Parts: sequence; C-alpha cells; structure tokens
Amino acid sequence: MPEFLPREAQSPLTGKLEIENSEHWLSVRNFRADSLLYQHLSSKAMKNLPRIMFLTGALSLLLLFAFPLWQITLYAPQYPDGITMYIWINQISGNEEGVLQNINILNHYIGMQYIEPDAIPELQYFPYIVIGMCVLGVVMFFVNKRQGFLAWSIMLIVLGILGIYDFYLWEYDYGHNLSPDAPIKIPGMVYQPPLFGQKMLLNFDAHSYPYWGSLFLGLAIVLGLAASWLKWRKLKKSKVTSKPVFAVLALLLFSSSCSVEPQPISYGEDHCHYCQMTIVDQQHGSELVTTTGKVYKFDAVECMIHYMKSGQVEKEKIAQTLVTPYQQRGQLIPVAQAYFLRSEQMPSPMGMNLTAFDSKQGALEFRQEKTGELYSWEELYEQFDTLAPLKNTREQSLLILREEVL
Amino acid sequence: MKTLLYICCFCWLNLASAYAKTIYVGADQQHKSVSNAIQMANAGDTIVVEKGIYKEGNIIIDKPLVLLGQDFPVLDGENQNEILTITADSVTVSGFKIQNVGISYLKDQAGIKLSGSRGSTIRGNQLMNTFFGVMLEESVHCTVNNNEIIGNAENEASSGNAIHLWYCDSITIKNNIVKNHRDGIYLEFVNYSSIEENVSEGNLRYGLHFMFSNHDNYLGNIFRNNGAGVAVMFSKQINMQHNIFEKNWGSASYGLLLKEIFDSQITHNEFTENTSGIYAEGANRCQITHNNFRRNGWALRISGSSDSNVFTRNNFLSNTFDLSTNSQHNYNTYESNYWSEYSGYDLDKDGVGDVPYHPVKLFSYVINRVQPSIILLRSLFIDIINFAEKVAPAITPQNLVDPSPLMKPVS
Repeated sequence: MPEFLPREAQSPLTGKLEIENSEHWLSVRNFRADSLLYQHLSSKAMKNLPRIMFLTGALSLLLLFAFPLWQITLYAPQYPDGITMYIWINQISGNEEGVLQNINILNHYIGMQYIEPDAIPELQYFPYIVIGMCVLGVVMFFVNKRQGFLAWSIMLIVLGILGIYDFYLWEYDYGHNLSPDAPIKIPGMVYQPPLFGQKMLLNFDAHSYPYWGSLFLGLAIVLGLAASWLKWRKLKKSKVTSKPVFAVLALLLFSSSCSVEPQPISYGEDHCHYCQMTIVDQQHGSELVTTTGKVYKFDAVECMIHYMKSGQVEKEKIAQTLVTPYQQRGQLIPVAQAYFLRSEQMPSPMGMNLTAFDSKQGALEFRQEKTGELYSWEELYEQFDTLAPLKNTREQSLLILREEVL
Repeated sequence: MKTLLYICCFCWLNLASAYAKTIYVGADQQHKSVSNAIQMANAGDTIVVEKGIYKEGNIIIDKPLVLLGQDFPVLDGENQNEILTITADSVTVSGFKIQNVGISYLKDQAGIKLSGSRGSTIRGNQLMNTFFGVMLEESVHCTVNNNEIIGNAENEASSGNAIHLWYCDSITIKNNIVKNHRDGIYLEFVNYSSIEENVSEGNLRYGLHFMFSNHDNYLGNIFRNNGAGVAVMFSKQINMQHNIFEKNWGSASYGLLLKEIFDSQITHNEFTENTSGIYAEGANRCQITHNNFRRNGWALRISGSSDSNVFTRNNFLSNTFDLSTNSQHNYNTYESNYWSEYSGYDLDKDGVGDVPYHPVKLFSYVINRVQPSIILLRSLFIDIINFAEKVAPAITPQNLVDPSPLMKPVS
C-alpha cells in the first residue's frame, strides 16, 4: 500500500483511486491552515506589489510597437481636416494613404528634404533598445532589487530624454537644412516643426504632440520609480544579485543609481544579519556595504566583526564599514573615524560591552566616569578574538550571595 | 541551613516589628512627600502612602522599608527622572501607580530600579509610560509579581524593556502583564530564575528575551502579538514549559527563536498561528516533547547547525509546513510524533503508522531559495514535485524521518 495516498483515496468498492475524493479530503483538512496562510501571504502579496508594478511597467514598453510615440498634424486651407504624420519607434506613418508622400511634395516646394523612413537609422535600432529594456526589466523583476528597479527606471528616463533630443535634432535638421534650389524661398524662414505644441509655418498650422506610445513609456518610468520607492520604504533583505546583471547595469549606467551607498537602518524592522535579532537599539547599530552595493546591517559592533571574521564576505569586497556613535543615535560613521570603549558599565546588545564614539576626545571624556579600555578600529579588529565577554566584577559576589542563601 | 536562616529571619523580623512603626504620607498627614517620609524612617518601618498625586522623581530607598500604596497613589516622574531607586535589601513596594519616567539614552531610567538589592519584592503596582518598567541590576532573591506594566504604544521604538534583569540570580517574575515595550521581559546574565504565568504582548521585539543566562525556567506564560514570541540566545539549561506562543506573524517572525542554546527542555507548549513556531540555529541537546503546533506557516525551522536535539511526542496539526531545514544532513532525532499530514496506514493496529514519515517537503527548500515561489503553494505542480521527492528523495535529508509516526494525537 503506497504511503503517499490519502486513506480515503482507495475506494473499498472498486479498488480504484478516487481523485476528487482525495482532493476534497485535502482541501477540507487544509482549509483552516490555508486561510490563515493566505492572511499571512496577503502581507507577502503586499510585499510583492512593487515587483508586480515594475513588471507591468517593463511589459508596457512592448505597447510601443502597437502605438505611435508622437503625432505631427498640419492644418492648411487645402487640408482643412489636417494631415497627420505618426512617428513610431520603428516607422513613420500617416493617418491615411499617401500622407507621407503629400508631406514630401509640400516639403519639396520649400526645399526640405524628403522624409525617408528607411534613411533614418534610429528607426532600425531603437526597437532593439526597447526590446532590450523590456528583457532587462524582466530580469530585474526576477532579481528583485530596489537598486535594479531604480537603475532600470533611470536608464529609461535617460533613453527617453535621448530619444526626444534625437527627434529634436532631426526636426532641426529638416527645418534648417533647406535645398538652395527650392521653388519657394523666404529669406530667414525656417520650417522646423515644433517639438511640443503648435506653430505656424507659412500658411501651415503645425501641431506636434506625444501620442499613446509616449504615455506607455511614461507609465513604464512612473511604475518603475514607484516600485523602487515602495521597495525602499519597505526594504527587506533580498537574494544576492547576480554579479553579471550588476556589471551590465554598471556598464549601461554611468550614473550612481546602484552606487555603494549606506542605507539607514530601519529600527524595529531590520534584522541583524548575524544574530537574527531585530535591531532596536539606536546606539549600537552597524553596517557593512560591499563593493556591489549590498548592505548588511547589524545590531552591534560585535555582530559585525563576527560576521566579517566568519568568512561569509570577502574582505576586499567590503567597501564601507560603519558604526553608530553612542551619542548620536541612529547615525552611521566610518570606522576609521571611530573609537571604541569597552567598559563594564556599558552593556551592548550582544554582551561584548562595545560602545563607539566619533572621536578619541569624546571617548576619553566619556571614560572619565566609566572604567574601560579604548581601542581604535584596527586594534579592536586585531584583538577581537582574544576579548572574552566582560565578566562583571559583581558576578563573583553574586555567586557567593547565592551560596549563602542556599 | 536554609531553614535555620529562615528561622533567624523570622526572629529578627519579630524583634524588628516590636520597634517598627508605620508612617503615613498624604495631603492631610504630617508627611506630604514620600522622600521626606523615607528620610525620617528607620530600617524596618512601614510607610503607607494615601491616595493622591505625588510629583516626585528620584526617590531613593536606601534602607529596608515596606512602601504600601492605598488606592493606588500616583508617583509621577514628569518625564524627567527615574522614580524609585532601591539600593537596600528587603524592600517591598506595593500598590502604587507609577508613571512618566524621563527618557534618557545615556542612562537607563526606570519606574522602579533595584540596584544591588537582596530579598526585595515589587508587587501589585501599575506602571505607565515608564521608559524601563522594573529594572534589576546585580540583585538576588527578589520577586516581581502581579504588576501591570504598560508602555507607550506610539513610541515603542524609543522605549526600554518592561522588566529588565542584568546580572541577577534567583529572581521570580510572576503574574505580571507587560505590554508595548521593546522587550517584554529581558534577562542578561541571569541565573536560577523563574518567569511564570506572565502575559507579554504587543512588544516591539520579543515577549521574553534571554541572553547569556543559564538554569532558568519559564512556565505558563502567554506571548502574543509581539515582534517575535521568545528569543533564547547563548544560554544553557533553560526549562520552557506550558507556555502559549501565538500570533507572531511576519516574514521574520517566530514563536520561539533558539540561537546557540544547549541542554534545554521545551515541553507542553502551544505554538499557534505563528509564521515559524520554532526557529533554531545552533540549538544542541534539547528535548522538544509534548508540544502542540497548530496552524503555523512552519511548525519547525531547524538549521543545519542544530545537533542532537530530540523531537518526540509532539502534535503537528494543520501546519503549512511541519518542518524545514537548510541542510542535507540531519543530526537530530524525530520520533513518535503525531503529524496531521501523515497519510499512511496502521494495519497492525498498534497506534503507530506502518511506514515512516518524511516531514520535510521539497517545496520548503524551493521557498527557502526563492521566496516568491510561495505563490505556487498547493498547486498541482508543487504536489507533483513533492510527490516525486517523496518517492525518490534527492534533496531532502534522507535520514530525516519519523520512523514511528503516531496515528492519534498525543493527549
């Protein structure tokens, strides 16, 4: 009798497996657990909201192939309804047959060049950039790092701005680069269509506005930024980002969006990376930042040193090592500036009695009322293994007291 | 020896009581202030404080006295000072309402602080908005019971612990209600002490927190809605019995967190509706028996660094995952538990399932690796991979089995 079948699954009459029955049996039995788990998961879903938003944004880029980015409409007495030219990510079209041809004929009179979509290289390679961003977005969705979301959104903004600037340059070129043999020549007249808005060009009234495609591009940017902001607000430790992705990002992005920046510790939310304790003490928090921008938070200097010595992070990959000075709650300073007091009267979260100060002077002043040893960061790190948890001098007397009472 | 000592004490008290007097403090009494009365009192006197509001901080009790409040007189620290500081032995403080301790990050101020005190009792007080509630330093044989210590809910992040013990021995903490602090009850370097029948809820971090403490008991407490229920760290020989751990929900929340703990007993507890019932890292030689794990996300999460623990005669009832581990090896013993997920038979009617039970599902590994995959829970695909793993274990520890799963829950 196989062990993995529910007991009800073996029908006593037919000997056959009754799948529905077992399904039913499972679902009834697990109903309570499920509903509770979903309660718990709904918070998980909230946690995943930024990702879902981000993916929506990334996928909405694909709509650029379904809708034009921009439209330019020309009104004139001979075209009372206007003729509209649509600019796509990969082509230029009109609102009806022959629009482009008509515009080219008009252009010919005033000496403008013909608009030849095949001659515009951007229309060939822009689609690849969009597809690339979309794929990268999906990768970022799986990587699920705030910096990734942010970097992607900023890249998209940069690309969008570059695209618009490029469009402007083409317009400038068309409007200014006039043929000297034009039938109609007006000195000083340029025919540059507006980038955004309305402008009279001779007897033509040109209107140029973004179209649906731009809206989706904007939506992708907004969703990407919103997702990274939401993630920043509810920052949780996530999986290690694969290095290639970050390398690619770093290459693509000269900006500092995934730079090596410390993050503020969210007290009462974050957990110590070494001892799992929730970090609540705002006078002993510590932080490591790696060269790839990953941040590890600790509830105490001793936990950070334990972690550094545990070999789980390579020493050369540590970009910044930060501690909180005792008298400046919740702030982080580099250990190079810090001095450490180890004093019996100064408990620290993990029993090593280590307190950081932002200057030797401050530590000395504080020590006047306490006993204890002073260390620089190097000294502390060197000697750390030899430091036992401080035994309180009264521990012995406590034991003696205890003996007496018993 | 002990009896002799008690007899001595008793005689001494009788002698003392012949000379002991009672001093009244109140608006209509000779003494208007508590500090004043304490200065005038001799060792062994009783001070009765009548109903009223006494805006006094920094009251220092440096001789053995009994302080009794009538109808809960209020001692108010006006958010400036510590309120009662006890440095003498055999002090009793009972029946006060103590409120508004000043917040200081450079010295730990408490509603009632015992410093180097022996045989003192803090009983039946109400503490409101005290930065630390009751704090014991280097004290032995003291009792803290029947107090109600409520913190400032809006400001938990900048509050201390409700009951805070540091370098203490033989302390009893019983029947207290502790709410809305950083940790409900915190023990650091505390030995031979007992924490019984307290209710600890709504605390930011832990309901109860042991650090570097040995030979302690905690029995019959309720831990509810805390950041996490109880954390026991770097401690030995802790006895945990008849406690209730419930509703500790959150992605990093647990009923009981064990870290670097040795030779302890965890028996007859109820773990209900926690994200993880027990989360253990570096737990060694512990006995986990006769507990009920109901409706938890994970009943047990046992890391590979845990060794020689024995899990027996526990009931695992309707947990999403009974057990998950991050290691392919198992050095712990699981036997004779009741697992509601178990679907084997008992053809020989001996009350024990005929086939061993593998409590670790492959899917729990997947979730450990990729959190969002939890969305696939109970999907056909997951059932299939779990089934495949069950038939031919490849990833889950092969020796992690309960060879004798029970057919009926342990009563």
